[in-house]
Amino acid sequence: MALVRVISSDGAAFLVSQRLAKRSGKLKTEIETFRKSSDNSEAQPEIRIVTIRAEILRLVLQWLQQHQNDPVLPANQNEQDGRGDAEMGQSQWDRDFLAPMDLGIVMELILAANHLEVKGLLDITCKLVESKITGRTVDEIRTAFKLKSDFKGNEEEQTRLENRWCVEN
Amino acid sequence: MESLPTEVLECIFSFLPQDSLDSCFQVCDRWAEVIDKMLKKTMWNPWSANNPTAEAMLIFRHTAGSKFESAEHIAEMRNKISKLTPSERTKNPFKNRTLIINMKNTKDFTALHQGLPEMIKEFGGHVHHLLYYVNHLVPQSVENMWLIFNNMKNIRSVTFYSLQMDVVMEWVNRWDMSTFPTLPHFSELGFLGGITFQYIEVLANVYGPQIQKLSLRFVTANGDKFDRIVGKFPNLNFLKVFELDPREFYRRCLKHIPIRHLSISIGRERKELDENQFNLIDIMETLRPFFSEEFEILTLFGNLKSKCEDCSCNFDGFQASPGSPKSLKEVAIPLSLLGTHEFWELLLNVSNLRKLMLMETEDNFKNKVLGKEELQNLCEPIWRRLSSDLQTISIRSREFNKIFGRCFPVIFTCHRPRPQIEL
Repeated sequence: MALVRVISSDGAAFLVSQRLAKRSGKLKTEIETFRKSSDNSEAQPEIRIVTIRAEILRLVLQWLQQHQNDPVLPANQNEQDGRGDAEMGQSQWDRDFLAPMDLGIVMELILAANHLEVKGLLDITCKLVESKITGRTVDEIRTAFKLKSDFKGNEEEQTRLENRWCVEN
Repeated sequence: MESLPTEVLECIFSFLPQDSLDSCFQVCDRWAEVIDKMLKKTMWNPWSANNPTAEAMLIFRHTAGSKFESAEHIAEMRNKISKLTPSERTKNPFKNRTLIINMKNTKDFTALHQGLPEMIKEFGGHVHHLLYYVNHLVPQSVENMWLIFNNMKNIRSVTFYSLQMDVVMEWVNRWDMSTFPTLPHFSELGFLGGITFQYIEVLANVYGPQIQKLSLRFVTANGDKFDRIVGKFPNLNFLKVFELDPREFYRRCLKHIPIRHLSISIGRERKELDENQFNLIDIMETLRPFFSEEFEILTLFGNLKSKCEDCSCNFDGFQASPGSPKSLKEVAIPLSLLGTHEFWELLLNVSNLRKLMLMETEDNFKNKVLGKEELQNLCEPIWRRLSSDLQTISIRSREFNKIFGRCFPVIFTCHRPRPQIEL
């Protein structure tokens, strides 16, 4: 079985099958680039992911392992087909996988899924964030996501008023 | 959350219901900007205004409260404004910054247009997207067109429909184009129905270089005028044309512009464009010399016919045309062409095809739920013959929605069957 060594930003190395790694758009490209530039067809590719630390990379690979036989979703699947892919694709395993994670880890996982082009994982993590937004007030959303309003002066009030009008409609 | 790139925020927001989207709009400047951009991209498509699609469904839901059809609608708005404090009264009154000026009947429309100048002068700066109906029986609707460009300084997209050329040109000829203001965000222009090319040319002279999306329907012009006009939109990357003879149009316009997204709709409402005279081969032959690296999305609507008499084509002996557009990544095509000679000719050489949508034109599946097995049977020949980059095929049918009283599209999705598990 052909293998690839994937190295996290903090230096941890993961040895995975190329078949599994190629389910990530980014890793697939990297492996193919390595093949083209390498004289030795048997050489083992080594890919350094400088933006993803070991704990997160392990989670991504774990998710890929679980979903290795799923169809690969195109990167821009939702644009024309509408929503629902995340809900359709979310299994009990996915729910158990995401359940213990705090929001900080989920955010890192989203960034990793986006960077590595793993559409299915990106969808379910985004859906999880969506569930933490739905039904909350503006202030609650800001608190949950540790965001500060960057509206200047009365802009916030203006936006709030615009929104009030919309809601009343 | 602050570190998430725009496309990821868009992905998260795309799952949100409208109420939550409204809340997110107020969280911070960046979120507001992303949502605004997203709504513009997904909701505002001039073509959808007259053709029910998923986008139309969204427009229908999201623009409630933005549609003005009578003086009463202005009065309602004024009444709500009067309840606000004086400092609040200049705020945006248009949901999603969209304004639709529509006609239900002449009497109401006349009354609406009497009150419109005052409303547009006061609140026009809040409008980002405008759909503007013009009717020659209500001359004020023509006269008020002038207001758009002079009072909507933040306008992004404008779609005119049902212009009557003679009446409009009488007014347009009186305009002093040198006084047209700068509209820095104006990038989308649409003309739906009865448009004179002179009018398009007038606007193209002023705003042509900044227009990126252009939609045209029922345009009356001869070939020379096409040449003259199209060169005035040098930065166009999206072109949608319907109810025109696409062969003539594209022969003349594609040599000027490296279009990325081309959308053609044929033979739905215009009887003189006899559907039988169009087939995919003719259209592709016309387009072929102009395919460029930028050409990625092709959408073909309508009842295109196959030239094949026996369209259970013998695939084994079939050679794809070497001139097929290799740069294509997304194709939407009528379901009726599935399996025909033209179908394979178009798709076999497209090595990077990622999305394929088959659009039902003859109501074969209307109000019917397509089961998994039925979908796989339809798609099976495509899985076998097209590149494995293509993982999903969508089939678009229609379903009557009782709540809205009209048909909306239903999209069934079929995924490439899983490969055998390697042991």
